[in-house]
Amino acid sequence: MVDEHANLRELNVQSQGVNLAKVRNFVVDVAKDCGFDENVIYDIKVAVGEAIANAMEHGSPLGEANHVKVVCRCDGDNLNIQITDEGVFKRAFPVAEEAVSYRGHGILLMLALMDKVTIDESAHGTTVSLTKNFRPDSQEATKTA
Amino acid sequence: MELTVRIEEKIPILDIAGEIDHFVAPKLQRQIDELIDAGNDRLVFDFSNVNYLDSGGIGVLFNAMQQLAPRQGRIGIVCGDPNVIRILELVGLFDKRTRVLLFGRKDKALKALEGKIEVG
Repeated sequence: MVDEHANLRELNVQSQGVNLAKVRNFVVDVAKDCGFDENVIYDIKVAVGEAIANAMEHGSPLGEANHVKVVCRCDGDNLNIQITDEGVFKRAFPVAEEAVSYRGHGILLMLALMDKVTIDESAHGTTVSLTKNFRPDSQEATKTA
Repeated sequence: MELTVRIEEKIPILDIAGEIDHFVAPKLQRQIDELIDAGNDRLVFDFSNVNYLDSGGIGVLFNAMQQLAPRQGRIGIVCGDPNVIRILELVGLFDKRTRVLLFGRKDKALKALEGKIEVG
């Protein structure tokens, strides 16, 4: 029986660009503790990096006064990371209109690198949920590829 | 991210160390704009010491590619990190049409970009 609370880790940061690396490092530590292979940890790091950059740029109407919350849940099957911003405006998650800007490949990378990506918008903010399944077999395949 | 630029064989080499993310990408973009505005049509990015690159950095590379396209410019990327290479391949940076080439070593990149070898 897995104790879910023991595998729950949370980080709150101010919406400042300098905190991008702080969040990435936090998630890398979690993924390591969770037991993922090094290549998979890199994928998770990039996917989270994209989500957190989106949250800071598009989900922080007050700029650096806003916060972004990161919640990681790890069990025997997968690692789920939820990134929640404080964007209060109804807005489309940026995909097509920014195809040639810095953000154009962010969504593509999240989808390509994670097993499941969901985006929930509410009146209080947007939550991006990223899930990576823990599959020792496929990780072995990645390693030898 | 640490960024230094030097010219070898008339080709600017952008030597980058550390992580290229959305936070530092504008700094890299400004440096590239400066080099392209000065008339350079070939650029080498030395990513030998880059250990992380996300869509912030990727966007900068695609922008550079688009800026250089009208003058038949070329970009060489020197990189040995399989994770960084995997991400760049995933977004199609080394597609034939992009005129962006991947090299394992800097001298190979310079040699290829120096010559008149057509890409694609």
